[in-house]
Amino acid sequence: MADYKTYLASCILTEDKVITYRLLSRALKVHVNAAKEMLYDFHQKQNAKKPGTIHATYLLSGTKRPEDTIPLNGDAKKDGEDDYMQSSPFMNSSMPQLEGTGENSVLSITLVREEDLEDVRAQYEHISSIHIYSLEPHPLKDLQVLSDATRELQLLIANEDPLEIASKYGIISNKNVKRRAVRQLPTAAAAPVPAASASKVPVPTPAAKPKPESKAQPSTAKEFFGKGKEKTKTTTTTTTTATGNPSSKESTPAPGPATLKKESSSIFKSFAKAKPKLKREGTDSSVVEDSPMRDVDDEDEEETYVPPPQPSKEIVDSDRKARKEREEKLRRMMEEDDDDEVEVREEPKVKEIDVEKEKSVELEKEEKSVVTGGRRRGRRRIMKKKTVKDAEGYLGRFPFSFYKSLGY
Amino acid sequence: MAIPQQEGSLLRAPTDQKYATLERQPSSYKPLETFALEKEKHYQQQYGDMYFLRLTKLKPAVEKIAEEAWDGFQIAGETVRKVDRVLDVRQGELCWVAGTIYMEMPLKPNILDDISKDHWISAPPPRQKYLSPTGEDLTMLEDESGRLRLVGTPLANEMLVTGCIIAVMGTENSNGDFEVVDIKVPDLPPQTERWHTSSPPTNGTPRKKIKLDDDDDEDMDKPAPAGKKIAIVSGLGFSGTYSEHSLEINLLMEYLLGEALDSATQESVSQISRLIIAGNSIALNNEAVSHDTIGNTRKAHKKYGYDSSAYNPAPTAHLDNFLAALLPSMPITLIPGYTDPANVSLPQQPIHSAMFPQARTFGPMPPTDGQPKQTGWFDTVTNPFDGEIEGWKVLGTGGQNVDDVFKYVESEDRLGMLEAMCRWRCCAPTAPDTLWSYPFQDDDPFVINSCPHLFFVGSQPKFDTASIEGPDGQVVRLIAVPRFSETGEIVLVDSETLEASVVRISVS
Repeated sequence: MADYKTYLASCILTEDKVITYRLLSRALKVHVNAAKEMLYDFHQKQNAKKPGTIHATYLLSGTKRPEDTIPLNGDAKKDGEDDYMQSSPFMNSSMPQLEGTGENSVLSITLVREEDLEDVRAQYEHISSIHIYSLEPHPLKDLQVLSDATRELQLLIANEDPLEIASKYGIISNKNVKRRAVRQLPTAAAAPVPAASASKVPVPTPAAKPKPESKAQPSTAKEFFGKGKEKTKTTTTTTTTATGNPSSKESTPAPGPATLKKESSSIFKSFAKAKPKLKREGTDSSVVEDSPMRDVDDEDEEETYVPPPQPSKEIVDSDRKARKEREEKLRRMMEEDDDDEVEVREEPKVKEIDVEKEKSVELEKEEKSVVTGGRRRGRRRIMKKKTVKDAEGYLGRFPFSFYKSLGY
Repeated sequence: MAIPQQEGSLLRAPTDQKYATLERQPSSYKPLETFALEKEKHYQQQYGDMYFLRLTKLKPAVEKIAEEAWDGFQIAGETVRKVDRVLDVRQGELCWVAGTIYMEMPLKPNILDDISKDHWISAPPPRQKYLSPTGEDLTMLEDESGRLRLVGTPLANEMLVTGCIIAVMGTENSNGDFEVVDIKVPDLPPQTERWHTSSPPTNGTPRKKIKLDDDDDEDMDKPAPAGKKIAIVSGLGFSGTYSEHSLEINLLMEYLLGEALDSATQESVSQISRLIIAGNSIALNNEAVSHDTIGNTRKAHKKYGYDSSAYNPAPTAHLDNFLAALLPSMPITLIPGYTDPANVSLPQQPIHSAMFPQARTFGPMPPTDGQPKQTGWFDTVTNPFDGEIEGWKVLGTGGQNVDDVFKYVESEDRLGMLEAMCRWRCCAPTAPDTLWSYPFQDDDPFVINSCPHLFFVGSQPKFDTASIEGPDGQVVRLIAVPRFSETGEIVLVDSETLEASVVRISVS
């Protein structure tokens, strides 16, 4: 019981912290009312030893004197009655029965600094309750900082079940409380869930439901969808990783892959210059249209570290693809205009020598994808990926790999 | 610092006293789903149907009252005669007719005006009142046949807004206007007794018990000692940008949890069996709004999915914390309001529980096939909300209905508007004219079929309460719930007498 003095001394005097009765009660695991008394005791004794070392805020409740509450619109009620009587006679039958809800039916709760305590006490007709709310080493300029204590408190009790701690701290308990049987993370169902989605779920929850969490129940598919976004998210992300199609109708799971995709395609913009060459290669435009498309996808996926896609089944996916295709086409068309044909034609050969070293390094890595690419794009002869510095220079700062044909 | 000893003071050295564990009173609660919309919502249909639905529903009621009042009524030897349709009114003939009020107000927002004048360049600021200072407002009575302009002194004494159903007696003058002699409204609908559809606690108060369909709320077979309270708070106004009243909200939480103040107060707090949050829990973010009006200068390119720069999750996170702290101790009913993240048109549908990652663990289980929908400990409901709490029929809104009626009338008296709505038997008469509403096709749920015992509206400028009586002995307790963010006040309603009292929390 006595160790509260050491605790308070270290917190307030040494660590310069503001301690509310709730924080104290949680820290020492005592009833809030006991904590209030401890604060008072400590405040008295410390200030007796050395006046002015500790400052307090008080919480008081009771009924205020009517005249003092006018600015607080407390008495406006009386006026309101009059107003009301005036405008209501139009209604036929009964007159409204107004019971005066006078000032004495208003319970005023005021939080006040020690310095202003007497002023506020004077406003009260009757004080039904008073206790120390907090102790702090300096007078508080803005009492609102006390609300930080609540946040601190939430961290402090984050691991405790709110239903069980209730009686310990003096929170009014309620035996009728109904909590959902917690079906937490579908850990069993979702195989290697991406860390992002997994960590997202438990972070906020422990405060509310740490206990049942441990007995995470198996979840059926139906429950899954009923449970709302959190769970759905987990599932969709899993499927996403599995199929490699970063697509889903849900907007929530989308951001991760989607933003990445965006970025990659904007990066892609910078080396899209390479594309026109391919176009010129192809004789059949329709095929060409198709193949660069795959390029885009391949490269995108390399960027986002997602395995290569299966032929898309989902509509969403195909939508996205179609859109991309259009964008790509447009971009190519624009860049075609810019490009000097001759230069482009000649460039690769020159560059090949230029970047020979880099290529040899890169090729080892890229070989595999090249093969895959070659296999898939039947029309092209041999594809190689290498880093190219553009003759014009502005691409040279971004050495990127791209596909190009070797057989001219 | 010498502080005199007084009752309830905890200014004393700690003792080894054991503190009793307080147990909160159980709450008897049965929400009704009058205002729940189908999952599939259609917006193709016309709003006109709502007026006709309302008129067909309320015309018999108002005609009955008018008939009783005006039967055999004579002016200058001429007996008043009932006319079925507005267009059947003949000039110079003393008659009475029932219909829907339509207020023609130049200052009312008018979509056709906006289009014809191409006013889209800048939206006019919302008006405090639609009333024209020069008196250009016209009051009309309409039904499916046509419209009749109403004139006369009774209009000045009567609160009238678009959409309310009334009966008027008078004559048509030579201008074709209807000179009103008297006005009748449908008045309070029939009221059921307490514990109409829910059943009272078994060994509770000795009251007449009517068991119609007996779906007990689990938490009802407990003794109910007198003095149970229902707490109603509105306008908590959690904001992401300023935290001027966050301490007040914390104090409110501590008060409701029974942590603040002394044992006696804590004991009385344990009588509060339920918290109702009546709208506007989240503050309007003015910054975000102004961003929107600037339009395309706002952002160069649109980002798909979650954009953390445009969305501030702090307010809902704070609200979630608040709810999650209170829920272990008391059940909460959350009614959305104008500024809350729900649909904007009435009836607002429940705020989605995905907003509350912590609090929703107290929510209802997702409905499984064949099982009746459960009521959650944490119940996010529609606005307007109706249900039975402690056996009383309760109707509550987030406040938009009153705020909109307020714009039509000169009076500043919010309770008068509440009363008028009860007597019109319509809890949102100005929908769909100036109050956004779902285009109902088959039923107008805003018509009050069964008189509530308690009618409260949230987000009002100040606390006010009154009790009104109807012709058949109906008694309705009206409460205007003030905005907590401005007043620091919450309302406690006694579950036996329905008397309202106020707790005001302030920081000096």
